[in-house]
Amino acid sequence: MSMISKMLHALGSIRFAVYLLLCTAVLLFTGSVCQNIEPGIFVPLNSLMLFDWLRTFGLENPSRTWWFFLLITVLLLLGINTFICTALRTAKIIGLRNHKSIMAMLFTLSPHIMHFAFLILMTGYFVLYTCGINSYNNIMKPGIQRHVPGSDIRMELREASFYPVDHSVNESLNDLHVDAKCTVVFFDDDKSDMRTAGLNRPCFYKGYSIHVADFNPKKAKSMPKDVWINFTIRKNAGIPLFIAGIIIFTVGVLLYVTPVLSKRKTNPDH
Amino acid sequence: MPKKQVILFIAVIYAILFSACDMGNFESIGSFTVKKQKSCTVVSDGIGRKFMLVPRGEKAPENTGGATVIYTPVKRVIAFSTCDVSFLVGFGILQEVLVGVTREKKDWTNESIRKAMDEGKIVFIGDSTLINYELLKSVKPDIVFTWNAAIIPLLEDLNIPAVITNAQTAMGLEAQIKYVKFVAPFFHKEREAGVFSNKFLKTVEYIKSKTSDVQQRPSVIWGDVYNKRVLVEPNNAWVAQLVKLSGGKYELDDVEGASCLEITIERFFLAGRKADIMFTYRSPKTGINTKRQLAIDNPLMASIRPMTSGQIYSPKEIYYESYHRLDEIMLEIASILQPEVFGVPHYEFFQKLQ
Repeated sequence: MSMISKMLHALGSIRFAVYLLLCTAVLLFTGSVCQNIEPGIFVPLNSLMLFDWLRTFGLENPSRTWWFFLLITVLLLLGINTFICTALRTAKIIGLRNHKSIMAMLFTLSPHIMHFAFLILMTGYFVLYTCGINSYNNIMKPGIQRHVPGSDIRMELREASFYPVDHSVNESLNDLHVDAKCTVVFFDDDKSDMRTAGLNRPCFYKGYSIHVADFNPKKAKSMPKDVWINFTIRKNAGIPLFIAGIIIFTVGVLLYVTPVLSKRKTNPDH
Repeated sequence: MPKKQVILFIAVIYAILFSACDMGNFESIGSFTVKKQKSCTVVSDGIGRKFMLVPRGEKAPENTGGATVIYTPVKRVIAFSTCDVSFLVGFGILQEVLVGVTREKKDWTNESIRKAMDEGKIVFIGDSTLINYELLKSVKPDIVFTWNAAIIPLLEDLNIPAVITNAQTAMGLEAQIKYVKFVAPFFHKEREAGVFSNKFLKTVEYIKSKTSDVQQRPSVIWGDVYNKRVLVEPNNAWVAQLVKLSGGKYELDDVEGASCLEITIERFFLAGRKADIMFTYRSPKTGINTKRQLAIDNPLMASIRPMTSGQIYSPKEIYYESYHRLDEIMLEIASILQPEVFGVPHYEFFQKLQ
């Protein structure tokens, strides 16, 4: 066997997968302990991209973050292991296609299709946390324009309206604004486009999602009466991969489940 | 199994991972960060907004990565927080750079600030909730240090960068000690900040060393009851961490969050029943100088243990203007909690309600 072939078999072996899974379990446990000791180091993971966090907070606190670097390596190896193992087995199954019916072959392939789909989903997450945009605290007042991060598009908050609660029991809660709805205008070259956003109802434009994170005024009778909306702007580069992974996974599930169900119909005793 | 090849593979992955790393000097200070690069310093404020501090005379890089460029040293600053003003005092540059504040002259104890306000060098731009933006604009600040993120769009309109100097969670002890290192790069006072920070750290080590064997640990709460609200310092706040280091027991050890955190009155009383010592937020300026006055002002407080048989301390005005003397503040708090270990308190920053 050639060197490359040996390496592929080693990287794709079940034994290696078991070692990697054991390492993952140990590192995750270690991580839970380290995170409890100093959670502040890991909080910025909510807003920073992965590599930004690794080269700043990660490298600054090696005694608390060493496990995270190892975990990423182990998970990467696990992904490679799954890919190689699945690819080798898929190749074998396709090699036996002349000896099986198409339905039988698809049934045998279905778990591997689900494995590939899982890898695509994980790649989507990886892309999200490395290539995406996560911009917090974009506080805007009506009439003010600002650049959408990572693009030449400008956005403007046009109108904002607020909705108070009407609490029949606790009057002190009356008057509190529980929702904000706003119109956002996007200017891209000579074109402009309008979208509406609210709490838990982000608007989307050219791959960006604009979320309402906070707003003012919080009460109908509020001093000061400044109107502003705090937007979180995201670009989720991994979404196409998520959707592809979900579709492929569903196909795999259907390919697996359909023959099983049809077998039970034809042979109800089994 | 070709182990050498696998190890080589992992080494290659790490080489790729770290090859893009800019191994510049990075420091995190709670929610704030400071990163020294070749020709500039990149800082992020309390809500994660980035600023690229470029020395005057040098050109900012074309790609700032979304950071707002500020030319340093900053020559004109408006500061909302007395903490930031106190560091300007500590750096010895107050008269040169401070041009606006949000407290009136009568509210300051620092004579140099009062004198500068008399001379018109430092302007009162209005209370923090009612800023006179015309006056703010007329003062022509290079930057504004503020805790109020809501004024960011207004200042952007005026082309004035706003640096948010508080975070969504209360600063821990280490972050509070090092916070001076966040302020320093704006004024090219990094060396002085290092001196302050080392001094504060040494004080913490000293306090820790003296209280390791302490047997009697008084219970402490830090907060106050107002008309309709109860505000306290959470367990993650620097004062709570200092109390624990100084040989005390912080009763609100299950409360985490921002500074001046609102909790229920029931939770406050649960802690108040056990506490030996209470620190309030109210300064003598509010007219509260005795326990009786506090109880009259808020009858709900009358039954808590610090009121009936314990001790209550309130911060003097000078406390809020003395963050550059954090080491002395820490020693005074330690001496209040453990007078046998640290000596009788001097009561320079706190007063004991009789």
